[in-house]
This record gives sequence, C-alpha cells and structure tokens, in this order.
Amino acid sequence: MFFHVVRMFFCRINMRKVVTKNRVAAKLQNPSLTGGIITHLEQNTMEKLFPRNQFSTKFIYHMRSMLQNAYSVLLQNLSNKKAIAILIMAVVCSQQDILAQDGEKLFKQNCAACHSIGKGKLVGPDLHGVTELRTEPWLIKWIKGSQAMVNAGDPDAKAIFEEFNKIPMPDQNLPDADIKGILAFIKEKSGQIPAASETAAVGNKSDNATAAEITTGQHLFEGGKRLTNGGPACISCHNVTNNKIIPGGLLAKDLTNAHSRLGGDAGIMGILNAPPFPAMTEAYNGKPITETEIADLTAFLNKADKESATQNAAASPLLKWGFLGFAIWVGIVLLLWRKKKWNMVKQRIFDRQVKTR
Amino acid sequence: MDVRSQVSMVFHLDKCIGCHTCSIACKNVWTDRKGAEYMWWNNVETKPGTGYPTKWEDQDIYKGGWEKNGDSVSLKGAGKLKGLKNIFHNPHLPVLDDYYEPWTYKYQDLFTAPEGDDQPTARPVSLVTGEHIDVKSGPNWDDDLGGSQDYARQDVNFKDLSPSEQEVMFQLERMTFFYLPRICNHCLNPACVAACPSGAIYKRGEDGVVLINQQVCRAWRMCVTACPYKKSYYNWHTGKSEKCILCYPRLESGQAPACMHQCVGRIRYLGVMLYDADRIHEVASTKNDADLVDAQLGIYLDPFDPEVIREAQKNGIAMSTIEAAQKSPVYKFVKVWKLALPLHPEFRTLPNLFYVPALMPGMASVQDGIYKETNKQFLWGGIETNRLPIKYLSNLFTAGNQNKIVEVLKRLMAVRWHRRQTTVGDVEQEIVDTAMQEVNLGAETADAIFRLTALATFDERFVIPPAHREESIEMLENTADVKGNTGFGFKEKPERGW
Repeated sequence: MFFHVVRMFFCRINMRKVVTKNRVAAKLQNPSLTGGIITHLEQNTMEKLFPRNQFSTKFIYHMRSMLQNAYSVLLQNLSNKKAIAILIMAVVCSQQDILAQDGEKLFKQNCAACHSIGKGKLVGPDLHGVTELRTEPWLIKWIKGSQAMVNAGDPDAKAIFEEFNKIPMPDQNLPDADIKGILAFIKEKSGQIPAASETAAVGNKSDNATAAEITTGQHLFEGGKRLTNGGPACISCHNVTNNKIIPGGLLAKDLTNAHSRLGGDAGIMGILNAPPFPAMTEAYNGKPITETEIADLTAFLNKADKESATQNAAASPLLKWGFLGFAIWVGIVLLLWRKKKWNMVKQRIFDRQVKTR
Repeated sequence: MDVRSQVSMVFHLDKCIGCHTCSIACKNVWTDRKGAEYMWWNNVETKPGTGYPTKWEDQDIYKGGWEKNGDSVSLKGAGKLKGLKNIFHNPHLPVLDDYYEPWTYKYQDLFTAPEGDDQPTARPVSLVTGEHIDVKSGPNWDDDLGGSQDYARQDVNFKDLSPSEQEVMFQLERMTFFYLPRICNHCLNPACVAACPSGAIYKRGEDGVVLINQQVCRAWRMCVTACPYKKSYYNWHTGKSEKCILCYPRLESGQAPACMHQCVGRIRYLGVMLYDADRIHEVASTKNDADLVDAQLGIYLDPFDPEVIREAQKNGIAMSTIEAAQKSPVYKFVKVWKLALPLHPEFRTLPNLFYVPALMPGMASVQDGIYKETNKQFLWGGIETNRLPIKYLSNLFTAGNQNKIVEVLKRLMAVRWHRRQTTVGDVEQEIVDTAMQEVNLGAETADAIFRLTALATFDERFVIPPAHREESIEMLENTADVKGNTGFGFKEKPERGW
C-alpha cells in the first residue's frame, strides 16, 4: 500500500507540472490547439510517467483517453483539481493491471542481489524450481516476512535459515501481484535452463584486483572520493575494521567479513547493484552505484576481509591522532592564556574567613 | 585648538559621611532591575579597603586602562592582536563573586512559618538563582573597620609602602579611614570606548557623557575589562553592558544627577569644563606618571579667555554653555583653587571626576595620663604627620606625586587656619599668615573656598548648562521632516527582555 501512495503522490506532482506547463504553452501559442497539447504531452511525458514495461499497452491507451477527457474538461474552464483527481484515480485503479511480464525486472530489482536461477547458491539459495518445491501461499508469506515464519516455528523456514548461516532474508514489501509476477518469471526461467550443481563455485574476480582498484574502493568506502551519482559513502552506516581507515558507522551491519559472509563477489555486487534493504534502498534511490565503483568496492571489501585477522580497531589512527591533537590543542590554549585571571580575587578572603569560622 | 565642553564633577571627601544615600538613589532609579541587581553605578568605598569589585585598582589582575607604549599609549587588555586572541574568551573579566552575589531575604517566611519553638527567620536567597545562599560578601563589605584584616590591609594602594609604614596605620588609636564615593568618570580618553569591538560606546558631543548604545552592544564585555575603574557592568539578563549615564535625562531637563541631588553631606559639585580635544593624545601619553596630574589639569581651558570663547563658539558650543563654564564650581575647585585631584591618573584615561582629599584630624597624644592636643600648633598636626601617609594618598590621587598631595593638603589647611582665626580667634595671626603665604592664598580666596565648601546653595553646587536639545537634534535630522511626529513609534526592547 505504501508504494501505491508514493506512486500516487509522484504522479500527482508530475501531472501538475505537466498541466501547468502546457496551459502556459497553450496560452502562448494558440488556445484552440488542443490536439497539439495532447501530442506534446504524449511525446514528452507519457514514457516518463508510465514506462511501458510496467503498464500494459491497453492501460496506456486507457490512460490516453482519460488524459484527453481530463484535458478537455480542463480547457472548458473546469477546476484544475478535479481534472487531476480524475487522472490520479485512473492511475490508482490501473495498478491492479500489473502482470507477470514485469516479473523479470522485479526479480532483478528485488531478488538478484542474493539469489540466482540455476546458477548456484549466492547469499541465498538458488531459486531454480522453487515454485515446484513450495506452495505459492508459503512463498508469498516467506517473501513478506521470513523472520516471522522462523520465529513461529515453521520447520521448512527454520531449515533454510539454519542452512544459510542465519543471515535473515530482508522482508520484501511488495504487493501480492508483484510477487506473483516474480514467481511466474522464476517458473518460466526454470523451465528454460537446467539446474546447476549445488557446489558450483563462483570465481571471485576481485581476488585479482590491482592495488589501484583496492585503493579507489577504499576511498569510495571512506567517502574520500564521491560516488558518481551522489550516493552516500558506505562509512556513514557501515564499519570495516581496517588500520587504513577510520572506524565507520554503527547504523548498519559491520562489513569487515562481508565478503566471505555474503559468498564472495556475487553477493556484494548483487547488493550494491540493487540494494534489497529498506534503508539502503531509500539511500541509493535514484543514485545508483556504477559498475566500476561496485568492482572497486568489492575489491576493497575482499582485501579488508582477508586482512581482517591482523587488523586492530583500537589502533585506529583517528583515536591516536585525536588524542594527540587534543593534547596539543590544550597545550596551546594553556600557553596562550597562561596569564589569564584564574581565580576570583576574593578567594583568599573567603578561605581565611571560613577557616576562622 | 579644538574646544569642547565636558560636564565634570568634584566630590569633597572631607564632607562625605559614608551614608550610601547616593548609592541607594542610583539603585532605585537605574539598577533595580533583573540582571542589574549586582551593579552599583554609584558606590561608596571605605579607604583603606579593597573596593568594589575587589581590588579593582590592581590592573595586574584586571588589565584595565592604558599603558605607556613608546611615545603613545595602548590599551592594557585590548588592542588588535590581543583583541583577536581574546574576543571569544576575554580572560581578565571580574566574576560575579569579585563583585558579590546579590541577595534578598524570604520575608514571607516570617509570616507564614508554622508555630514552633524557635523564632522564624528570613533566610537569604540569591537574586540570581533564587536559591538559599550563605552571604559571603556585599558591595560595601569593607565598610569602616569591619574585617580590616581582609579588606583594609589588602588595599592595592599600599604597594609602595614598607611593611612598617603599613603597620603604623593599623595601630590602635592611629587607625583611620575615609570614604571614597565613585561613579563613572566620563573620561576624556575613555578606555571602554576604545576597547568596544561593536562601537557601541560613545562620548556625547554636547556634554561628554559616555554612553553605551543598548541596541549596538553585542556583549563582548571588552569595556568591562578595559575600564580601569570597573564602572561598566554586564547585565546577565539583557545580555548588554551598562554603565552610569550621569542621569543625562535629568541633566537635559536642568536637574542634578540623582546621586548628587540626594547627597546628604552635599559633597558633590557638577559643572562644565572647556577642554582642548587636540591635546588628549599628548596628555594621555605624558612620559612620567608623576607629571600626569599637571598635564591633565593643563588640558582644561580658561572659559574667560576671549580666544577660548571664540574657538568654542566656532565649534558650536552655545554661549549659555560657556557662561555655565565660567560659573562652574568644578572649574574653581580644579583650576582656580587647585584643590581637587583626579582618581588614579596613572590609568591615563583623563577622568573628569575630581576629589578634594580628606584632611585627617590630628593625632591626640597622651602624656602622663592627660590628652595633650587640640590647640595651637597641635591643632591639626603637621601635614607630614597626617594619619594617612602622604605616599598612600599620592598613590590614590596623583600617581605617586607626593608634592602635589602635600600642596593640596596645605591649601586646605591654610583655609582652616584662616577660618579658625575668623570665627574663634584663638590662633596666633603669625601662624595663619605663614600658612596662607606658603600656598599663596589670599583671605578673600580662602573665604570663597570656605563658602563653596560649607555654605553653597543648590544652584552654586550644580551649574547645569541648558541642554539645547533643539540644536543637538538638528545635527542628526532635519526637524521639519519629523515635525508633528513626536510621541510616535516604538521603544524596542532587547530580545532577551529588559
């Protein structure tokens, strides 16, 4: 439901912009050119507003007729708000029309970070043939709240949780229609390719990363170098214990051993490609991390993981230099203001009077 | 010559009885407000004593005033580099306990206490925190001889006196004290004005009153440090500094300042002095401390001199002000009779409040069980055997110039001999003549001094020039533009409240 509201909100904002813009354009050019306005709207904004892969062609046509109606209403000097309300209602009502052909995109967005189909285990299990293994209601329940199931004592859920090193699967806040679409895609894909062997090892490309890549990765992690699309630096939420960098944030998981924990490059790259965790999704929404950056960060995390046994959090340069710097600063202050008035002048009088009391 | 007018004052210490009426008058009119409870724009100190705030005269502690710097002077506690270093820190400020923590009593408890075995008491509560406090000091805690161990013996002006000289002062029956009432000196070379980073403090053009603009003050408190007399106070409630305003609203309507008007002993005189503003820097930079008094007295001009009058008029000083300067009691005490001296001229601020030092009564001496004193040559003792060492007085009033103090005391003494002879007639004429000749004093002058000292009327003590507000407002704005607007507009209050 949350996503519905958000989508509705953005639609509304966009529509208002479009309406205003075109009203002005119409006035400037020729008020009678209604057809021209609609064409302009179609060409420039329809694609942006309603990408084809999320909406059926039928729906697009449906929308167009709605838009045309709304516009004629608008141009007949009826209220702006009313026209927008019709547009929004059109959008909201049509959300139910999302079908399985969106499954592939949704899978890549939400699942591919941890799961493959027929390419072996990553962080989570290979989903090849999972639709045969489990019932659809069970899967939907699991996807929406895996931990709840584990805690409720579902034996299958518990077994999976134990098998994958007790790394909980993040709850996916998706509408049932989307989940069904994803499951349909998994089923379709499973039919096309054979299952991989359980032990199919995924090679870690980052083992061969150059020193330059690792350094770049370190700088990206620390925020010394900005992410191209303006996403926040990893260190603001994550910590990696490494002598080269300062201790990081405690808001999210410690990433010192993330590389091995998440099953190598694939796990990390998957997460960075499409962050599956709510806070991280939000943080990198519209600010995706680029391919090269992902490679560099993975290389750095790989290196940090391997070095982790020899690293010591207490030896952090921040702490060391922090204390030293503070001591120097206090020293300078004491030196500069050594002649300041340290005591109240009456102190001696008070001391003597208290003594004789 | 750049002639300007200055409202100046003389306090006659021989007449001060230390009743603090002046302090109360000032407190009731100006500082009976939240945040100002600890301020005493007018206070009366007992000398020897440490004063208020404690040891204010010790500039090694408070870094106030000017110090000699080559051919010129510079502020002791402020300046470009020092100012930059200390602007957010200001390390030489007096703390509240250096003044005192103001308090009141819970009088209500006397009425509301339940019945019990003991008398109800009104416990003291702090006016700052509202909590119960143990009162440890007040603004005049060094009053009279109370706690002389802690206050009188700690007097900063003993700095040149040997321990034996000091000891003599505190012997039984030799011990003495006098009162020193203090207000803002409205200096010619004010350190507070020079130190203010906001430019909030200014010296009024028409009468030289030094004021703090409450809307411009930014609470740097540099004036508190810079004023060597510690007469600028920080109001912790409004976040602005405040100081004595010489009751300028009263002056402008022809009334004497509240403290002077109320004075029981009529020790205070107020009048205009004309001075040469071109010479301020030169006088403040005088080479030797000992020459400072003479140098400062030299800056005040003769209001009867036609050239001075011409120059004064050229500078826009009204004829009525010049006439007030001619009648000024301050001019008579300071320039004509040379009886009044500035307080601590070594601070080089050229203060405009002058003091006629107190003549201590002579020592009674006991011989064979009989008091032997009070007549003839023993009457007031010799000046040199003054109860208060000349050195001590010179540290207060002449920056260590002892001759200057002796000269003033001899003149005062000569007047007394003369008046004793006139009214009682038990002094040999020869003694009187010698005393008068020594200080070059005629009988007429001595009578005039006596008259202004003892019998002066209100109008003789306070010669207040008309304020000519109609002219001063014309300097700032075209009066035709604001005609009919008087009485409109808002009086803005500071953000943090009055």
